[in-house]
Amino acid sequence: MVGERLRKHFYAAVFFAAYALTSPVFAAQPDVAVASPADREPPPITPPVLLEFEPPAEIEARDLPNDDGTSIVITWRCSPSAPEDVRYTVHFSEGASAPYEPLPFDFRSIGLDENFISDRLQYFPYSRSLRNYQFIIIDLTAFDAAAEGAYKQELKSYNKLLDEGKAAGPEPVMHEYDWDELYFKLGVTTDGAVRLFDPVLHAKPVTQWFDWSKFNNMAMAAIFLVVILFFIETARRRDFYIRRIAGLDAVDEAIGRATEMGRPIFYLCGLDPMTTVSTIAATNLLGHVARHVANYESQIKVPCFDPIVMSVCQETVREAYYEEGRPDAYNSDNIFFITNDQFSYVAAVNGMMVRERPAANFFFGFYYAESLLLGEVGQSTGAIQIAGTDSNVQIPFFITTCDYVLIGEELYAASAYISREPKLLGSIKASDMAKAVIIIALLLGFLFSIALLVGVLYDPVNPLGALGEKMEYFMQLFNEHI
Amino acid sequence: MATFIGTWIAAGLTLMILSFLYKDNPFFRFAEHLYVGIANAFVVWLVWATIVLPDFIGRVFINIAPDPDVTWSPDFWFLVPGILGLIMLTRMIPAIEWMSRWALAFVVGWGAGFMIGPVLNSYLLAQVYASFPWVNMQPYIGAPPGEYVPALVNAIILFICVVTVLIYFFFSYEHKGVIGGGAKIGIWVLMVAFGASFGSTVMARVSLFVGRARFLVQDAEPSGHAFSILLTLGILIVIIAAIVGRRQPPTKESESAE
Repeated sequence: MVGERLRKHFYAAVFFAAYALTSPVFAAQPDVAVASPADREPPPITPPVLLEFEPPAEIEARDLPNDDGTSIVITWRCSPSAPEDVRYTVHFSEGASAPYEPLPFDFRSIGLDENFISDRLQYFPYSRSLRNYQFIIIDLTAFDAAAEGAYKQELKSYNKLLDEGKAAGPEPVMHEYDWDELYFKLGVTTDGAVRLFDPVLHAKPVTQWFDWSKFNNMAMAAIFLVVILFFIETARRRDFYIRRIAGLDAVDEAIGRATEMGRPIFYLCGLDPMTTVSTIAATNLLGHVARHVANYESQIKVPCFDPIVMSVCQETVREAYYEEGRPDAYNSDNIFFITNDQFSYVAAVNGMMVRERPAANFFFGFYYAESLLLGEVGQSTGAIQIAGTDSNVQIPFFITTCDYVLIGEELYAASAYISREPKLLGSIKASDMAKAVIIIALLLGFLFSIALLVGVLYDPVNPLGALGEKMEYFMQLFNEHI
Repeated sequence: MATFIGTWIAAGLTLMILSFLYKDNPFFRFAEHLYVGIANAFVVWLVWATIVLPDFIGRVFINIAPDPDVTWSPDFWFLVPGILGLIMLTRMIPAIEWMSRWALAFVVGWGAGFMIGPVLNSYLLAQVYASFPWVNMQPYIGAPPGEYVPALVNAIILFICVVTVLIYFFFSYEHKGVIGGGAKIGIWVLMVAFGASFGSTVMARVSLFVGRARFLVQDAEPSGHAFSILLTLGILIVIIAAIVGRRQPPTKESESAE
């Protein structure tokens, strides 16, 4: 009896086991329970092009130098394989043994001919041996931003469900990435398939207080500063020669002419704000012109494009009138703001030129497309016109419409030329010294270039050996970042 | 209909502005004042809506864009630029006018100091680096002679131009001897560059004019262009005739004699 019952239970158990093993429902369960999104993402078959790809060597991760401690950089020596449509990518995991997933933010994969170390010298030292290395910068703050974005999205959906009175489940919590627990793997990808390479990469970002990539800027600024101070001091003791600048000799003539004719002088400071060098130079020059105007009892009008520039111009002109002992003649209404819109400003100034027919127009500062419109109308009214700008594109238009033009740096030198102040004269002399140094550096670079171009005929990879590398390094000193 | 009227207003204002080619006239003055007024109103609104409201009032005093997901708290650092901006207005009160100089000093000082780095980098270092023939020749190394030789000649010409233009801008040396010769070449280089720049910009301006003319001829009357073409051509003929027939402007000599 007992044996009969045991036999029935045995048959039932065998039947149940056979059903369970063959049933797709039961068979699928373990996979569903274990599978993570990352495991589901890559296609089951890795394309041959990725399997045959020879892994790059010397894959390393380290802190990104010269940054605020938010990024790391992964570097590797280029793979000899170069199939088309294959790009480098990076996957990450939260923990050394956790599964690797695509980065949680938009990440542009890197082509086999992109991101060479030699193109980004602000992060890497210059060396010919590093020519075949590539890099990827991982900004770790992007993880936090992605987590915040996902959290906001979830919270919105959660609040919406609550508002609709539906079951919303537990309140979403923002995922926090621990930067110390982020691990990476470099891989290659094509058509959505990914093959990851060993080793596992990990680096801790460190904040740097000093950006050494801009050291060449600082060194050059410091040297020029010392030279400028030296020449300013020298200029106090003796006078420096400054070559004749034709346009400035005509300033007095133009003011005199305006006085004789009883017509005003128009002085424009350009369209750039007070923060640009040419506008500062223009307001500087305005002081000298206003002093002469005050002396001759003529009238100066300064239509302004920028309200801040207008305020500075008012101060400058007022100071000039006070210095000349003519405070009563100063009229702040003559230095006025028109508008902050380019072509309506031109329309207004042109209208005033035609109506008031100034005897002289001064166009100093930085100009854009309006230069020809201003110059042409001023010329048609018969005014003497003197322009000075460092806007290379607009100089030709002033040359065609004005009587005298200060080209580029002549605008900066103009104040020194007129005033003969030691401070300005010293600056001019120092900037000439700087130009001489630059010319010497250019000549050295030219000689090195010719030597390297000859050397490359004999050794295309390593021209002139270690000496050639030093020559290249000299030229790299002038690179934007080193 | 609204688009049609708007287009015709734009076309009319364009012609009013173009009438300045003849001489200053009431139509031009109307368009000029309208243009300046609208531009100023627009700038005032722009500054208020994009700077003062969101970046000053909205950060310090009130939450102008409440978001239930974001907790708003005042950021008092924004009071600093706000106060600097407000003291600019003291220019209107003579007794405390001097205070506005603080804001001006800040703007000018910050501007001059801030520009040292970028100017040094982009106007000096990067330009010197880009002038080295070795740097310019990098893409051509290993190229066939047909590409290599012209590139080399180009790199050398570029180098000579840079050096001679730099020599032209020596102010504390007399332009005599070697410096004089270099400066003479430098000014020629500059003039050639300006000529090329002039030509290309004039082409761009002609293209702008063509765009405006197309607007007048086509957009001003979408269905059937006959009327707008006739009107535009008629006005252009009048303008050209006026320019041709206009008295020559008085010469400077004759004005001086007045």
